[in-house]
Formats: sequence, C-alpha cells, structure tokens
Amino acid sequence: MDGLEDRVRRALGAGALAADPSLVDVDAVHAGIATRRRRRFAVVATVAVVGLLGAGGAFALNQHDTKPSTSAVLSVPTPTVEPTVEPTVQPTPSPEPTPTVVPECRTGDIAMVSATTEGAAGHLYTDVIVRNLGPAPCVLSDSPGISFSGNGGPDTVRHDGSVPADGRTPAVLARGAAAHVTLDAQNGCNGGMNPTVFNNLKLVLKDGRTLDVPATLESSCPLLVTNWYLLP
Amino acid sequence: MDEIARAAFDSFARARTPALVRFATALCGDPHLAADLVQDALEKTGMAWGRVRRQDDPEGYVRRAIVHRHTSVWRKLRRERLSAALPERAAHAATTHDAVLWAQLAALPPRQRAVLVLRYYEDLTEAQTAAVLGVAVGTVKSQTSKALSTLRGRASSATEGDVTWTA
Repeated sequence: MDGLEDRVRRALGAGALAADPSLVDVDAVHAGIATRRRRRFAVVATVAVVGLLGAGGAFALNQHDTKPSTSAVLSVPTPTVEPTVEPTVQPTPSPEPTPTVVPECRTGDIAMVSATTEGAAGHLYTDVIVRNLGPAPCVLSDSPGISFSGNGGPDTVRHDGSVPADGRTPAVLARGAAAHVTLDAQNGCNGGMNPTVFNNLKLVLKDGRTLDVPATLESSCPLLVTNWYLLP
Repeated sequence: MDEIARAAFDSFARARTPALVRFATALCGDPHLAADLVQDALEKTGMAWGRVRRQDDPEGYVRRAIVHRHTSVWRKLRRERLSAALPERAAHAATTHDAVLWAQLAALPPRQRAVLVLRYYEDLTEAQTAAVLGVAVGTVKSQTSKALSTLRGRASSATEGDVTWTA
C-alpha cells in the first residue's frame, strides 16, 4: 500500500468541511414535497379523466353485455386506511357506486400505464401502474403472480402482502381508475453475489394471463411483491 | 403523509441534514450543488416515506438518491464542464489538506467517486457500499481499484500548479 487510501480519506474529510448545512431548509423540503404531490395527483387525475372519457363510450354500447368472470369475489372488505387527499385538488368522483359483487379484473380490461424503476438503499423498486379500461368496475385482489426467465429458484419471489399507508386493498377499480403494485429487488443477501436476473418479467393476473413489465431486475434476495392497491 | 409520518420525516430530515450535506459535498465537491442534491433527495424520500420508513435504513435511501441524482446531473452538465477554463474553486480548496488530490477526485467519473466517498469518507464496507449503490460487491471492488489506479496515474504526472479540471 502506498498510503493513497489514507490521503483520499483525509482529502475527502477536509473537502467535506466546506459543506454548509444551512443551505438546506427542511421547511422548503416539505413545500417541495407538497408541490410534487400536487403534480403527481394532477397527472393521475388527468389520466383517469381521459380514461373515463374513453371508456364511457364503450360502456354505453356494451353495458348490457357485461358478465362477471368466473373468478369473481363475493364481497369486498371495507378499506381500513383512508387515502391521502390533497387539500387543493378534489379527486374525480366515481360515476357509479361500487357494486357488491365485483369481478376480478381480466387482462383484457387492464392496460399498463407505466413501470418505473427507482433505486435506493440497496433496493430497486419497480412501481407498476395499471388502469381499468374495461366496461365495468373490477377488483385486483392480493398480489399478482410473477413470471420471468432467468436463473431463479423456487424461493426467488415472495408476496409480502404489504400496502403503503395511503393505499387501499383489495383494489376495486372503477372504470378508468388506476392501481399500483411494487416489486422490490434487493441486493443485500449473500453479499450481493449471484443475484437472480429477472428477464422477460411479467405480472400474472388471476385469469392466468400476463402483463409485460418493461424492466429487468437483479436481486440477491427474494423479489418482494406487494399487494395491488388503489392509487390515492 | 399523515401527521405522525410527517413528524417522523421532519425529525429525520432535521437530524440528518448536516451529515447528508457533508456527504454530498464530499461527493460533488461543490457546497451549493450539494445542498441542491440533498434537498432533491429529501423531497424524494418524503414522497416515499411510507415505504422508506418500513426499511431499516432511511439514510441509506437518501444517500442513494443523492448519488443517483449527482450522476444524472453530472451527465447532463458534462458537456458544459468540458472546458479549458478552470471552474470556480470552492472555498475549501485553499485549505484542503491535499488540494491536488481533491481536484483529481473531482475529475473522477461520478460512480468511481461515489465508491471512494462511501468507502473512505463514510467508512462503509464493500458490502454496505454495494447496498447503497445497488450494485454487486464485485462492482465496488473494481470501481475502487479503477479509481485508485487513476489517481495514482495522475499523481505521477500532476503537480500542484498543474491541476487538470476536466470532468
């Protein structure tokens, strides 16, 4: 060793002393969060409105043909957690009350809106948003199955059943409403060695059909899959 | 975010901001950019706080957000910084123990610099560094080796009066 590591340590330590924590205002952070939430809500609301407008015409033509699927659930538990609602923006009201018998969403009714992967603290979170474009409300219960090609074994996927504090599950989707599921890939197992590579990743719905997820993940831990939950 | 979650996030942010700003400064070399990186990372963390607080290491989440943001900013600004003119030197430059080495660190690609900052400033292990960056341990080892090799190469050719500020 030529002492370079020690010199790097000292140089970084000395350089970091130039930091000025007063330049970061935590109150401004809260304001920034509120702004981001408003923007996100506006985007989701816009997507939902466009979806409702698009699905409305089809519903008018086909509503008498709607049949519940064989995998329909007979009752829907009352959501235990109220969604967070921005004070300045009201959500688009559902155009009709949720029926007491809501069929499970079928692949043909569900459209992928986005699949976004963000990394943090050794995790890769892939958030998948889908929207109900079918003619009637439907439910996404529990969590989706996972299909992939790769080098994984039987314990490479785990359904942890979690939902965020502001989510509602099972996700009962009105026409045009969006739901969300998170895949959590983690590199903290086995020292990050020999991770499972999840190629050709797909979500498997209750009807056995699949939705492609445009992401390739690597995880040395089992891939955690949350429940479906409504976007607040 | 409910009031309890908001209070928890607020406490976390106020307690850890000084350390995070120092980390970001070591990472990017610019106190003002460091403040922007921390502000952005804390906002992202606040947006995902319901999920982040279920994890064991919210500070690791922020650190990783800072590293990713720095990398993307560096890529965006790279063309602008590829200039013969010296950029404005930060206030610490004159008092840094090893100004030449500091400048050479600033010239490293952001991923290599991030590895060095996490390993030698934050004193994380290779496994912890890999976890923060979301890469394999082998990647941390190779990036560390490349970075140190680059610094050794530059040290043999550079002098204090002949600092190369390229990015």
